[in-house]
Amino acid sequence: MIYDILRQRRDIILKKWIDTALDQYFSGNLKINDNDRFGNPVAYSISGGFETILDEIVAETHTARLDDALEEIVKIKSLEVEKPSMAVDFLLRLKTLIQNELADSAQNGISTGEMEKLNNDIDNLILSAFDIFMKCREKLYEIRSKEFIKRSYKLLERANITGPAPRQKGEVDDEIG
Amino acid sequence: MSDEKLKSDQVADIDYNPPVKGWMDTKPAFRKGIFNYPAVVASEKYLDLPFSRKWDPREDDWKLPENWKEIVLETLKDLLKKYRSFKVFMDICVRCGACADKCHFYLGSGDPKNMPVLRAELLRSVYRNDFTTAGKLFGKLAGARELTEDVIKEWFLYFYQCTECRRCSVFCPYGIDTAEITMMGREILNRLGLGIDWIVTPAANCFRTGNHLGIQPHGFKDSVDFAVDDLVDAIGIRVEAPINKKGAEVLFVVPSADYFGDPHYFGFLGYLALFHEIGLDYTFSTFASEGGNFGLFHSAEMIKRLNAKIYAEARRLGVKWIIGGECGHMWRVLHQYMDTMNGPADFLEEPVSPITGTKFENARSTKMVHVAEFTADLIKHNKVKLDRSRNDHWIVTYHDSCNTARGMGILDEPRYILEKTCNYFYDMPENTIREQTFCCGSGSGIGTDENLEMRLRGGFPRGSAVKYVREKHGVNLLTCMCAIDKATLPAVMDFWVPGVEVAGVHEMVGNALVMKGEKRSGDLRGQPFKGEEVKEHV
Repeated sequence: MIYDILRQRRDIILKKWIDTALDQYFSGNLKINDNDRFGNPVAYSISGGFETILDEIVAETHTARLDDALEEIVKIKSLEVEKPSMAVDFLLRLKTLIQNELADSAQNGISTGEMEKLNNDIDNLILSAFDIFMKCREKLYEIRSKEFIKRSYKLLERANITGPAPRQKGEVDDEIG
Repeated sequence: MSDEKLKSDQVADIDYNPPVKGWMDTKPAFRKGIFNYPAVVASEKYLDLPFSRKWDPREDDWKLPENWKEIVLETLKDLLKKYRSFKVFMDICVRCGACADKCHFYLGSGDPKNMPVLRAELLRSVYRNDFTTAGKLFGKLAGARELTEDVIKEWFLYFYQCTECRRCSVFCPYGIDTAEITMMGREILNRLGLGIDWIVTPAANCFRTGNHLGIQPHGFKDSVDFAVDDLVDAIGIRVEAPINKKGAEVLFVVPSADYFGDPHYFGFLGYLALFHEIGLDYTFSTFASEGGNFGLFHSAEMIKRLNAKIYAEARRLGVKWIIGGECGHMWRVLHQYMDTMNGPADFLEEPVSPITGTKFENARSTKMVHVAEFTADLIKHNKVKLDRSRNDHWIVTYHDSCNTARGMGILDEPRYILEKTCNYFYDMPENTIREQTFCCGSGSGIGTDENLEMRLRGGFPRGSAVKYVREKHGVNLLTCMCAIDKATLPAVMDFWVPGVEVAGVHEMVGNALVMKGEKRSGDLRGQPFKGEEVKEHV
């Protein structure tokens, strides 16, 4: 029942969800084409990612596409905000949007169990998004240390203090990777 | 983005609307990860820069000189008088917005002040207020605003969030070059002692030793000797790499990262192998040991100071002409400023390739030829033997570096070289390459550790295009011709498209080059050629 309603209102929910997210980025009257993958990659990733997430929720599935979409969006967020709570708020917004859409149907036979399942599905996505955020932040620190090593490795090598085992050229990345 | 803490009862009730305040009333927020650290005092003093002091962008008091306002307005007045283009750019923008979505920082961050039009407006609003009648009479209505300390802070944040890549200027119907506006903004900031360390310290090193890293002559020789030794391991030939050789035909100037950085170094080995194979009579210089010029990111005067060594060394060594290595901003200076700043180079000859006889008429005035032009010409005339299959372990794409592409129009030569040295070369989509190329997000002196998050945001459009060719063709190598690209694109790839490595164009040349007397089974990185992996284990 609840998923039938969501299927019917999928386009409305998706549009509202995408619009609020893109408003955060591209404010004012400036209209940016969100279908241009290269001209506007942030808008493209958000629009496409939101669509995938909503479709999988509505279809009650959880495929690798959903994980990829979630990762792509949270990756972008991880560079913009310091706190995980702010990186995952787009999923809370979806929850609110769905609840608003279902409000008038609440008395029309939506069971508590169905509602609970839907909320659980979104909550699980929020937890996954937290994990992805942390993974991205760790990646940033890893990149920082890699850059540092790359900058100083030749210096150490020339000073002949690179450690006991002589390395082959091209192995530097493997060893630190 | 806000830095405020969310309270538990607010979590489901977030305000998603953009701030209601206009841009003039929105103060800059300095969050760690998106701004650059100030210059260290010692470097500023070495260069005799004004008002050197310790200060922190996150603190309220930036310890500006007492008469800072006077300095800003006087400098602005000077710059408007000195540069006609700047004056025109201040007046003619109609705010059509054509540039707005062309900046990689705007596309990657969504911050409206990263729209080129608004970045320029940060300065233009002060210009209107103090230099135009309309601004003086109508103030905010005419787009004018008063110069305050917050305005200076905003300039510091956003003029160091512009890589001077000039993509926006390609789309501006009036040809307004936001890079020039950024350069003016930085000139003003530097007069207040508001430089960043990643620019000022390399500039100080360069002024002292000739290169950004501060490598002294004996250190430079060590580095080149080290590369010669490495090349023996890689190709089985000991090449000559002359340094300060008087009377050589050609002076070869490279960015210092070439003989120090990874992956630049493998391209450096490629140059050495190539010049050996064709028997080029060339020399390095221990003082012109850096083609890069961080003065470009500081002020016109600093460009001139750091660039002077190139013609001076060409004269001292008595060469006929100059070849320059793979670098981006280095070429912006050599191509557009060197001739008028430190020329004329009338003591040099018009460059002619001693191997093919080709006259490089485009370099008639500067007497300096890009190594990609030189190599493409060699290949075109069949003067080198190449085995493309030696790069078969790479599926290659090419990132046009902003300065060589938009700044000097080298678009086809690198592609020609790559097509002749690699079997698998695939360009990225049209609106992300050539004149429309996306920046690496780290140019113009902002490729710092502390600015990593902003760099990755700016690198997202490029990452997105690489991801596309990776998905479509399995691309695993992003080639480029810029030292800053080579230093910073690995991080962009690592974050956005893991599995793609970065290399210079001449690394591909060095791999494919079939040399007389060579002994090799692997590429310049020491990796086996495709098909040789099994033999190694036999």
